[in-house]
Amino acid sequence: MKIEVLFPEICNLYGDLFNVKYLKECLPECQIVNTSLKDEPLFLTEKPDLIYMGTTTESGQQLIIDKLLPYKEKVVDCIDSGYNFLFTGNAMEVLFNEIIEEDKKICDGLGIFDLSAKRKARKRFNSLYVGCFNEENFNEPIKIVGFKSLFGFAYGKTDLYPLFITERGDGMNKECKEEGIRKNNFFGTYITGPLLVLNPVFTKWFMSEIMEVPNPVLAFEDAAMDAYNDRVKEYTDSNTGIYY
Amino acid sequence: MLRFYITLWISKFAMWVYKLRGQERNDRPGLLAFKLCPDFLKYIKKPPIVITITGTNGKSTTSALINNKLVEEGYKVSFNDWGANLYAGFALNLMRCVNIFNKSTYDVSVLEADERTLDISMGQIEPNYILVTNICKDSLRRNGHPEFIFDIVDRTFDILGDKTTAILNANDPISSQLAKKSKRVFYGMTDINANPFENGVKDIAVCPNCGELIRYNYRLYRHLGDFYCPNCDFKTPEIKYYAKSVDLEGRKMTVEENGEDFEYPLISDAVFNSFNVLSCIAVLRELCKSKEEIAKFLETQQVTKIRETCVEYNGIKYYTYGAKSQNISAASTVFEYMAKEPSDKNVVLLLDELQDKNHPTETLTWLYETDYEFLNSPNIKKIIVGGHMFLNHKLRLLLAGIPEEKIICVESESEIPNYVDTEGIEKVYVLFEIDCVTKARNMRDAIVEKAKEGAR
Repeated sequence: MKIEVLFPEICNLYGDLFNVKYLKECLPECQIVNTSLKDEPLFLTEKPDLIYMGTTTESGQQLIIDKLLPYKEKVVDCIDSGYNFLFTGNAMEVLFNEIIEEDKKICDGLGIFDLSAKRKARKRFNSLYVGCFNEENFNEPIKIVGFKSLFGFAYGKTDLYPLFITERGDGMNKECKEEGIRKNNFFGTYITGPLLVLNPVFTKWFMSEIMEVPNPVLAFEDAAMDAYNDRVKEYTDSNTGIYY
Repeated sequence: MLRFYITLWISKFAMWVYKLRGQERNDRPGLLAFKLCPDFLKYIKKPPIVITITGTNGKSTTSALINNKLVEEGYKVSFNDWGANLYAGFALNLMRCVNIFNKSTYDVSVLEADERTLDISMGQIEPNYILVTNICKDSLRRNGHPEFIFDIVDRTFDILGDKTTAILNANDPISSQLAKKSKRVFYGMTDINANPFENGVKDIAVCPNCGELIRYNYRLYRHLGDFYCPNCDFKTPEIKYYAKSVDLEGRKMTVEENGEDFEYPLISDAVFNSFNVLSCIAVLRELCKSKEEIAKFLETQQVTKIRETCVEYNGIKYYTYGAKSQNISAASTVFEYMAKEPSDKNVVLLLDELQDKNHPTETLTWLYETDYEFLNSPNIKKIIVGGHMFLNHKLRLLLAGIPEEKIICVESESEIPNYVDTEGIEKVYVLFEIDCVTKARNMRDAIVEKAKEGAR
């Protein structure tokens, strides 16, 4: 089993890389392939079991767009043919049509998703997040908890491929409840940080159904579940403030 | 100007009232000044020397050292040492320096300044010197990422131009790139065989000019060291104040300046505090203070009690030690120190932010950027965590590879003293979030009291 981590030297903010570290703890035999900006991406030549990219800086986004632009058609093919992707924080914005700051276009994105990232130069939007993840065969949706810290939001067709439905906090922007992108096996979310560590129920489902790990076992499952249950209780409590 | 003068009089009156009430350090008069006159900092008369100290880490210790030296020399110094390092604190600091006619009555203003709003405030104050200690990873919620902070600080120097001298850390690949259009003075350090641990995530990894991976001839801690890019001319700049030898154990450092060596004392055995002393020396030398006087002064200094205290009982030293939760570079650096400080010890983590506990809840991401892995060291016999985040700390410590039998996590902090060892160790460190100085001291005292109870 292989997990390709795209550009970890710059896509590493806010503990995002612990998504991969946790999978490695859960799947010790799994091989982590770090693809730097100077390397050819692994997904060009083979199908990794997961392609991961984490949060980066605003200038980092431009470096990544420049890097991936020659491979745009391949990225589209990979998403359409069901490659497994997990993009967290602002990583998915490189796949949008454009990135705009203070009403001025900063750069074109890869244009794979019909969305625009609009950000404020000095404003940081911080909030807790509570949402749910649902599949047709679920008895009940999985509760998702996390944290968002962004310079802006996504606008456009935000309801086309929602990954989560927001219960507390913001969706793709302050006006919508849809959060993230789920297209085939592409999972993208604005939730920042170690999503998979903080959401062990979702992680187990992801390993089983997306990465096709038979009978997955989570690392430190008891401790992870204790912390998750406590977190769900706290974040869903209406007395807990959601915005910072 | 009429608006300014009315604001000055009202704010100074408020300052006088607060002083009468024993709240001299309350920065509400400064806030009032800002609200009544947004350009207050621009119009208020500055003392002949204004020194600003900013950066992610080290600014409190360094600014205290600079202030102490100037006060010792008889200067009349206004220093915002009460932790108000934003606009209101600056306004109060400078308000103290003038009379009601806006005439300067002080010699120096020492401004410890948060980086986040530096361009707006310093653009108005126009300090003579700005010392930037370093730019590292800090709180996600407040500071985003180092590049974001770099842009703000760099914009400050762009605004100030040649009005201000930038005093910069040559060993920091981030902050050393600041102020390219201003007068710049660099301080830096030789290879001291610090053998720094590798951080899980680097503050900066690639060259900002060409994207190549940054390399080092040597590192000192975190991303600080003698750096270069193999692909372009990005490298450690030329150093004016160069610590050519550093003896942490002996607490002394030789600094080469214009080809001459001089030995200065250090205030602690930690590398990051050596940088604080070195940056203080650079500022004081730029102010033309004599080397001998600086060295004599440093002999009398120690790490501020806000950051570190110690009591001893029954052969065990009990410390409080500031660690700054959410500021991941500070917390990781302290964790590295805990591993390298050779004593057998227990470490108590009191890192929950009070403000986060009240509203709304604490962010978690910092736990996963901070190098808890450093605490997995044979000399750390036990790690005891208390507070409402205890389950999250437990999971993080387990993921750091720390054996479960070494980890004690309890929700109620009052239970912590029950778990601290009273034999088989030399030291106990209570690592605390810096807003919780009193809480940390109370915890340390409760631990000592429990040890005394056990001995009876």
